[in-house]
Amino acid sequence: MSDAARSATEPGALAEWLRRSTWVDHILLAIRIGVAALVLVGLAGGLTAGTYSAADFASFALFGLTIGSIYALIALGYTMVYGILRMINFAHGDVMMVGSFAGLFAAGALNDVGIVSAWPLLALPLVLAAGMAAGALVSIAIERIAYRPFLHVRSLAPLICAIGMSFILQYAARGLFGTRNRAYPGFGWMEGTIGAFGLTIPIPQVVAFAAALIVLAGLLAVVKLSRLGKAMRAVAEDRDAAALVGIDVSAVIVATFAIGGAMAGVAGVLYALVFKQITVFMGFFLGVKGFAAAILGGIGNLGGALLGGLVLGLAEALGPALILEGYGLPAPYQLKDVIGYGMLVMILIFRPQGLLGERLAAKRA
Amino acid sequence: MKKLLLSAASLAAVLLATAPIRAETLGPVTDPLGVVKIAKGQPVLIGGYSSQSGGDTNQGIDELRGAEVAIKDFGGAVLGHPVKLLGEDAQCTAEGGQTAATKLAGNKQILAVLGPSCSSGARVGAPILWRAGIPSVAIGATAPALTAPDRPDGFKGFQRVVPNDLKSAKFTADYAYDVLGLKTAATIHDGSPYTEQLVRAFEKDFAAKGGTIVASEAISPSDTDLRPVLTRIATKKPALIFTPVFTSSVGFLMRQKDEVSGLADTKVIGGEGVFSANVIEAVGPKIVGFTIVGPSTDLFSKRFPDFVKAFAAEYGEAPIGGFSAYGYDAALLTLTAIKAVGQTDAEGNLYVGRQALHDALMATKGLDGLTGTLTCDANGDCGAATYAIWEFTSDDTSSFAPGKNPKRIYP
Repeated sequence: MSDAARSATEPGALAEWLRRSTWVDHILLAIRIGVAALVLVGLAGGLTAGTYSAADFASFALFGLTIGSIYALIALGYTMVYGILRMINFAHGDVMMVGSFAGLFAAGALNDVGIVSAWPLLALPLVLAAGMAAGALVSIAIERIAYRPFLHVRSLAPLICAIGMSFILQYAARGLFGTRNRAYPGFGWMEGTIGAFGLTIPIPQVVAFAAALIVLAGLLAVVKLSRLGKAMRAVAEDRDAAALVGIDVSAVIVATFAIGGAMAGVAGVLYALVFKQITVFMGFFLGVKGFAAAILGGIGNLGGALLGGLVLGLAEALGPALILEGYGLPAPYQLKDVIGYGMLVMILIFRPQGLLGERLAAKRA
Repeated sequence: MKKLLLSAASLAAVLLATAPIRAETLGPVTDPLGVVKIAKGQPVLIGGYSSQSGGDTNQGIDELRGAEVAIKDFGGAVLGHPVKLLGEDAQCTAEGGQTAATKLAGNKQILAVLGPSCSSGARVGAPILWRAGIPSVAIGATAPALTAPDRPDGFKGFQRVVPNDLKSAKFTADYAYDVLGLKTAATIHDGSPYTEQLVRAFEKDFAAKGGTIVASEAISPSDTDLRPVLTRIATKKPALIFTPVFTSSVGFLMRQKDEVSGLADTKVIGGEGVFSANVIEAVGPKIVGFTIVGPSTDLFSKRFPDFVKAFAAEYGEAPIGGFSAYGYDAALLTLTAIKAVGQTDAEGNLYVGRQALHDALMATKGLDGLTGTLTCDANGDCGAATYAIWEFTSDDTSSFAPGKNPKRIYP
């Protein structure tokens, strides 16, 4: 039978789909079409309204990438711990806050001994290192105190414990550092802007984006190329089998928390450099954003966390201007989070495994 | 049987119909809302709720400290009973106001409550207190709706010694249009009743004078990236941005404003919520030249400098702005009213009727307060308006001193 003859005797793709699909599929399709129409109408309206110039959109997009890269750094911590322990470490956002404060105090100390004025370029890596060290230490301590006892227990207890740790960190910081907003130093050379492609970009944004990319590349290199990375991937695949072949599972878990905490510390310092103000309660919202980014990209997937963070950052930065503006809503920026989280809901409905999907071992799939 | 049912029903109907007007009699006092008996030697309890945590902590702590100073000045006692202030944390949120008010309303010995600091807390807290028959005298809640003539019944027990925002809005619009000669303005609020109603009142007054409101925007208090909002405003090229948002938002706004092209020459006027040293740290170097509209302590009563000395002697630091003076006046108003209506029996027990106390509070006329002369109108507005425009002159956080930094530039 020739190809033409076969296609003539078999039903068309549409008919086949109609035969197999249920009413649930039809409703999901209707929602898809509805959402797409909403977005397209909004986009068309937003672009034709002409409120913003192309340069404005470009500057929103650049900012979205900056904040997105910070979300990505936070998301990595969630995703790494999930990959290994199958647990969401809700205290992660607050680890970021601790890193941010460590950076603040380090900057103050460097300023006092005169390093900031003498070698302004050296101050930034030192402050980042302080944030990383604090984040890693706190993260290791949390793992030791709150999660290790549950390592071989299958229950919701570690999750509840994580939420408790989040409050402990927040209120311990509140007691130690106070509730007022703290201003972050800018090291002089970071105060200005640079001009490129007709845009004026604040230097902290460029620094934050570049630093985030460098740290992310370093992390991916560790996971893909080093012995530790190989061990981490093995533990994520199957903890018992990894132990059988001689991998020290506890050490790998500690290393995972340390790396995740360090990433959070870097994110905390970079966030503070961009926004210049920190409070002890900032970890909660940023933690939720990072978690959303991890889910968006596919939790357990490192590349997914990176992509999820950038997509979430861009959606937040561009969504109100592009889509809500098109509907002529008054004060669209109040609804910024609706765009971000609305997207998260849509992803969970239509692609529960996330954009890139979780890499599952055959045993778990 | 049928007859019995009928008579039971009619009895119930009579009881139900008479219940609301059944007054309580205790000792020498009869009062429709109930009577509080304070036994001999027991303290008179006054509740207080203000921001004891969160970003507005300094304001809230100062307010209740001001009230403590007033109680001390009053002799520490009223009608022979010592006065005790029970402070609660209302944060600056509806949830905080609800929690604090519920806790205070549960204490049936409390005669009146001072506070809160914020309109969001008052909107939820004041009706809870008034349902328990407890009047509240607000220290910092300035939203117009709280004392609007058409306010819900729950706010009938609410009054304030701080001026209504309608007065602040009018003052700001006059300054911007008449003094600065600005013809276009944009506003930003953060969704809280205080900021939203204040900008709405400002917009109305500014437009009535002939000015144009080119943008009316909103942010949320947790927003950190205000560049998109500012970009949107920049496209309308306003000469002025009026935004009475709080410390952290002002910090982000002022730091990011100059990063948005087209806003470099736009003047920003903030609200009295940022009249504190914290805003200097939050905004950093960009604070210089930032103006706010706020109560002017120079225009307060002649006794204010003495109050500042007494305050500093008690707490080891000078009060911030005028918040503590409003706390002082709220306590003064309340104690004066309790003194007027409280009745003592032969054994030395004190009786205060709740309705009588409320009526006395609302009837306050020409009371010589710390912030000026307090006279309550029919809707519960008792504040003496004494506004000024203040300009910050230095970004050194330790330099905060009303009069120098910020400096009064008008009137």
